[in-house]
Amino acid sequence: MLILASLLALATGTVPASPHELTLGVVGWEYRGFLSGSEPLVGLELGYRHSVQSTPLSVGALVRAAAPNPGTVVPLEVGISLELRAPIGFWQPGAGVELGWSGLSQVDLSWRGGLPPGAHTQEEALLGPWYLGFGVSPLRFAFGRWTVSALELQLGATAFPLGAGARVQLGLLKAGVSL
Amino acid sequence: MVLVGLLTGCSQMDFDQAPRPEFLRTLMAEVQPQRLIDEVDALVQAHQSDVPLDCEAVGLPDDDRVCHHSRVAAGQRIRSVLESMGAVVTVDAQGEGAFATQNLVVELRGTVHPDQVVLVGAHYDSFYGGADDNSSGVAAMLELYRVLSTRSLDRTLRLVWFDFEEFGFIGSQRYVQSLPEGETVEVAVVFDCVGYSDGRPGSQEALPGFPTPSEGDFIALIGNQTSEQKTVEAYALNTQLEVMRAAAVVSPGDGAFPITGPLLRSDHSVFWLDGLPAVFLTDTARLRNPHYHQLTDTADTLDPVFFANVVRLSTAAVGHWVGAR
Repeated sequence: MLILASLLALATGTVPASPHELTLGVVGWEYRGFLSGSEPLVGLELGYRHSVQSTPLSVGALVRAAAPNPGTVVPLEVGISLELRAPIGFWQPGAGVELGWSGLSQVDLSWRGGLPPGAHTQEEALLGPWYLGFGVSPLRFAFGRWTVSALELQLGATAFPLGAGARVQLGLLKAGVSL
Repeated sequence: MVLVGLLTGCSQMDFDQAPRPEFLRTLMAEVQPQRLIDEVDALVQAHQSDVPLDCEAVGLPDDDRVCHHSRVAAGQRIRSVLESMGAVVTVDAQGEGAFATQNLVVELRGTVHPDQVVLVGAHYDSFYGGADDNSSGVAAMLELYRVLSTRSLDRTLRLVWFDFEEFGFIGSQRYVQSLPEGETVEVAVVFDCVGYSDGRPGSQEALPGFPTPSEGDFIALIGNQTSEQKTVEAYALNTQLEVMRAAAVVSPGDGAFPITGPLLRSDHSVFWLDGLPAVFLTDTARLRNPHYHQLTDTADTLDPVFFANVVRLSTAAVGHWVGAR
């Protein structure tokens, strides 16, 4: 990671950052209901972020896609986010909230074989498509116009009803560029 | 999650109706511990001699538990015992094929408020012999019926032995979804695993969300927001009547959250999800009992004193709620 950061720093020099940033990353996440959970999901995330001038705040929008599970109609997630960054040199840790809509918030019932769904139908009905998440990006680094971030963690809950499902997401690796 | 009481204290509260401690003690004294153990023995034998579920046909041949799931012989045993006590058993038959369910229902009609129902339930299907899970709950209900059937009741007492709980509360879900209109379920009391106790430190794994004692010798009374009043009443009755060690916990809202998932793993959850008040009584099953869902879940592993006290407490609480005289 540090080697990659050093190479990026050497390659990019010091280019003034624009308020507009595009990111692309690989993320893994899953949903959990009160009885069972989704298949672990791994997908790509494309994001746009706009820094609010003279503040550590930024707002963003994103779209996330994963391979569909059986029963998934729209294997996508879209969201908007608000983030607070605290730059310390090239280290730019951040924390923020994300509000999104998911077509992937479903529990995996394939293990039930030929069993009737039972209470799992009620569980699935409670897992709404909306979610609210709180995330941290402790390992984000900026090198000129480039950023790289690893191991971003986001914990969230589905809505509505709020909290019927839990959502856990790990941003494995993300790269960004200021436009 | 809100912890409403743990083992001691919390006995002062407002009941919907003032309890009659002397009368409730009389009811509790009628519980016969030996009958409970004998009944569990008979039910375990019924399960062990039964033809198990065809796990190949279900599509789960790799799960040994599923290949040792049974319910027919236990159901026949329940009907036989009830009929020997003069009960009229009705069968709530629903669904088709391998998972057609047969819930067994007995009712003692209330004389003052017949449309107000106190429902008591336990599942009768089991993996292997199923002494604690859930022949203990089945036997508890049979004893409850024996004691209360000799009394006049203000409200209707309905006892339902649920089918196919082990695969996602199938029988109870079908039952709740077809409840008759026009009646009010005042409270449902659900038994699942009520006979195992271990007083050694470290024998109890933690229930999620509250500081669980390390000794597994208490009965857990579990409610949600809808059943909070009844859960607290049961706990207060236990303290007032000095029956046994108990812990009560109330989940917020309908109780259906990932963190409270371990508290939802029985038939009471379908009542909760349908907005009906239900109190769950359990020895916490796998959080305490190493024989849970194992071949070794046999009657000799149960604690007869603990088991009898659970049934005494249940008899007092149900007797109170149903207005027994």
